[in-house]
Amino acid sequence: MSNQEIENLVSRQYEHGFVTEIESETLPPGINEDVIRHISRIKGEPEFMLNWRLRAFEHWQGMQEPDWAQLNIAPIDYQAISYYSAPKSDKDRPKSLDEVDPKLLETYDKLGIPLHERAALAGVAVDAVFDSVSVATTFKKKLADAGVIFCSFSEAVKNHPELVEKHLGTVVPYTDNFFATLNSAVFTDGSFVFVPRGVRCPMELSTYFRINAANTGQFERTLIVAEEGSHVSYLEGCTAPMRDENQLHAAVVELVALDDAEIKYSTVQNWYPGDENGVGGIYNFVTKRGDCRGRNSKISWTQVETGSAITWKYPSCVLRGENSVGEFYSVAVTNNMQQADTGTKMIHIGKNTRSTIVSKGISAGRAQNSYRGLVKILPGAENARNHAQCDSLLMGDRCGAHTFPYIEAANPSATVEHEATTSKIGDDQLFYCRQRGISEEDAVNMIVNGFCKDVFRELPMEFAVEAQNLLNVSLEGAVG
Amino acid sequence: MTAQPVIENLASQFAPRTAEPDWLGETRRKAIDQLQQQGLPTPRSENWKYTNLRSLHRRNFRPGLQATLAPDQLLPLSTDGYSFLNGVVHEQHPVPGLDAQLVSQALADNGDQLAGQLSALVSYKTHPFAAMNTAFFEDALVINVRAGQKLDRPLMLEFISARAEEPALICPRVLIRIEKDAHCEIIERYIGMPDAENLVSAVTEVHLAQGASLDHYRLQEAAPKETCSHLMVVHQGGDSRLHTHSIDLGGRLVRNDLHSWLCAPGAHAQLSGFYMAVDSQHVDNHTRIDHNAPHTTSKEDYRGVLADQARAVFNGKVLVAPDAQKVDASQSNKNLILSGKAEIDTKPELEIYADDVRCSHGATVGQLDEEALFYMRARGIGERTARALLTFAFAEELLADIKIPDLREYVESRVAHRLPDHDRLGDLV
Repeated sequence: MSNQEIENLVSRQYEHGFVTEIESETLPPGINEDVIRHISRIKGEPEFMLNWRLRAFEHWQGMQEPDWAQLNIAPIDYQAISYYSAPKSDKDRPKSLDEVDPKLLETYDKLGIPLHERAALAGVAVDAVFDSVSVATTFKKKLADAGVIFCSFSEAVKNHPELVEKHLGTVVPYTDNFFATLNSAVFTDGSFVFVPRGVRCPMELSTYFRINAANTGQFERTLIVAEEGSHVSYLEGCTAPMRDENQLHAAVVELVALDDAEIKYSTVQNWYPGDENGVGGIYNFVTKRGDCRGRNSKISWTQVETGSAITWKYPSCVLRGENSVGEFYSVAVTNNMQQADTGTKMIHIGKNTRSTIVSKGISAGRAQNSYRGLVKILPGAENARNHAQCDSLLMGDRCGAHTFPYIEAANPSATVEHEATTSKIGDDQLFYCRQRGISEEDAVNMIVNGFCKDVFRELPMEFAVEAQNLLNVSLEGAVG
Repeated sequence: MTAQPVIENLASQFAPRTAEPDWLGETRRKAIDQLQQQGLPTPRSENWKYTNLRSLHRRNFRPGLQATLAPDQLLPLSTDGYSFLNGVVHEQHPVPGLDAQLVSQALADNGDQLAGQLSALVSYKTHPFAAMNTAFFEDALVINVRAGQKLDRPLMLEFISARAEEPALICPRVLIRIEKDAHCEIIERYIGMPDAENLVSAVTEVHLAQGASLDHYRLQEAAPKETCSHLMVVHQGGDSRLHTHSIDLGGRLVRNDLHSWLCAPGAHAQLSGFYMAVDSQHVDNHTRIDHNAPHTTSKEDYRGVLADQARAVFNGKVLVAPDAQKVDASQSNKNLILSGKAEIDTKPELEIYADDVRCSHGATVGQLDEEALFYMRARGIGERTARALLTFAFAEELLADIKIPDLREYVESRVAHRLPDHDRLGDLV
């Protein structure tokens, strides 16, 4: 490659870096009981929600930020963050897309979200979260016909409080960890999915998150409940505008799968990673956990993580039901100064439970990429089976790749296997491609995509294409 | 730090040794201060996550408390070397031509040189048992293999722990320096008399110069009620070669730390380990290999067999420093659980800061191959025997690497002896 080309690639700016100028109703920075009461009041929440938030806040005040991850994080001032921001047009919520603020639609347009007719073409229902309040939900009718509830969390609290009260915090309790507890106290919105007994959700459900107003932490909360014999696939993807200050994101996702139910949760995360010197970028502290509560239930996590300055995320499965299955497929890409500490936990409690972990980490520039995972076999988990494969690819001599797998086995009939390799793209592989007339950039893309194939294969079609492109963009200029 | 009587008791028994040079006295004083400040670590500390030392908190150990062995308990040395009883030299059969001295002699002869080497690798700051050892060790052994010297017979170091009127703290300590292109084989054998209830805290420091090589064997057969810690740190020069064999069979609470620094190109470390734990034994092996220079290689293979309520911990860390290119490191930990109450916690770690490397690790937990069992049973071998045989074969893959025939046979028989139907194994293997 010529120097000029490299120069162009390296100096390329974050594509999705733009800010939509919409007046936001934002609380002043800081967190205290009044802020929590205020959030709860704005959302018109019932008593139990407020009490839950307050209990979480009280607990959070006695907690300390975790520091065990292989991450170097600048101190976060939790009092300097505003905990609520909603688009101004919140009061008279739009009845249809025509009433939606055109500027918002424009934003979605730029991001390529299939919201109106494109949504129909793509067959995707979008519950788009703009900052903290849902502004448009499509396909509600079709889903309602099937009996599926798919709405924003606030709506669920209003319309289905009994379901929320029954399941909220049963997978990730408000005492779980520093960031989940903070989220429990101040979360503003998120998605809620309820798939009743025996229903196969007629379409892929999808939410696009987008952080917009400056200095507003994004605290999402997602709860998915799949009743006996139901099936649902949920997609989550995100981009964020360019920003110089670190933004805090602490989301919580809870999945509940009852007997014979299956939940597939896919994520493409492409938040602003900061510039090449590590200035700016999103701090992403996410608690995701699925509870395979019923017999023969299955929860599958697939994630493609290319964005954020800091990623701290461990989607987990609690395999409680007999014969339940947990899966974790992950591609984590870090470039420049990005840091990722991500992995999974598979907790085998029930008999004949099985789990699979495939983790692919790619590290370039001066980035640090860690896999951290736990496979725990409890004494009652007869015939539990786990296989974990964690591979790291290094691009550049200033980056790091780390693997911290924990295996705790306490059952003699369990079989647990963990394998990990770390290497760089082989000179012989590159040579082979170059010899056949493939440019170096294309060859690298091809090899990297091949490296990640096991994970991309698990993504829904629409996402798989997006993920591949994302990967190519994220690694541009990393080798050359 | 909450007060831990065990530490307070030890600190109150600390006394300066007037015969020793000031620098050593100073080091010992700092070590005991450090120990008193930090106390024993808790499972909240990542390095001690799976090994809880709470059972030691209320104990009282008397440093260097002596014991006598009844004549029928005497273990005559079968080969050249040294034996120590409760940390004090017991028998000496020096190897002709080998420069080996007790620390008191070495200090008298060449104290200044020792100042830079004793405690150079093992820091009392980071490890509570290192601090304990540094503060209280008695007859340390200083071994110096001269440049080019190749010992043709293994050097045997026996550390015997015997019951005294009260539980004792025993601190074996060895400093090994192997000069350029020299080679030797060293066996460290830790034996506990069956009724002993001591705390054995051993430290071995090894300096391998350019081209030097060491085959190191550590055979641990502590008594069923003993606590046993072994900390070994190796500094490796260019083209040096280290092969360690760690065999843990005894002890109630066992913790081993083995750390190799590969500091110049061409250095190679091979770490082999086998642990077999029964009853309520707890065996914790922590290993760490630092690839600090390019073109360094390492290979690690640890295996464990767990029965009854035993618990084993394995934590193997491989670190590749920035710019340490062309490193090749592989690591494997395999475990066999034979009982519903046994537990294994394994954590193979890779921390890599260079890109042109090939590193891999694997860990498995599993059971005996059902098909192999069926094969044997179809040929008239009873199930118990077949299981014992397969378990033995699992261990033998590692034990076969022991290059000293007498030692290998001894270890094999010890392992076989702990398996059911061991009397029949002899006919089959």
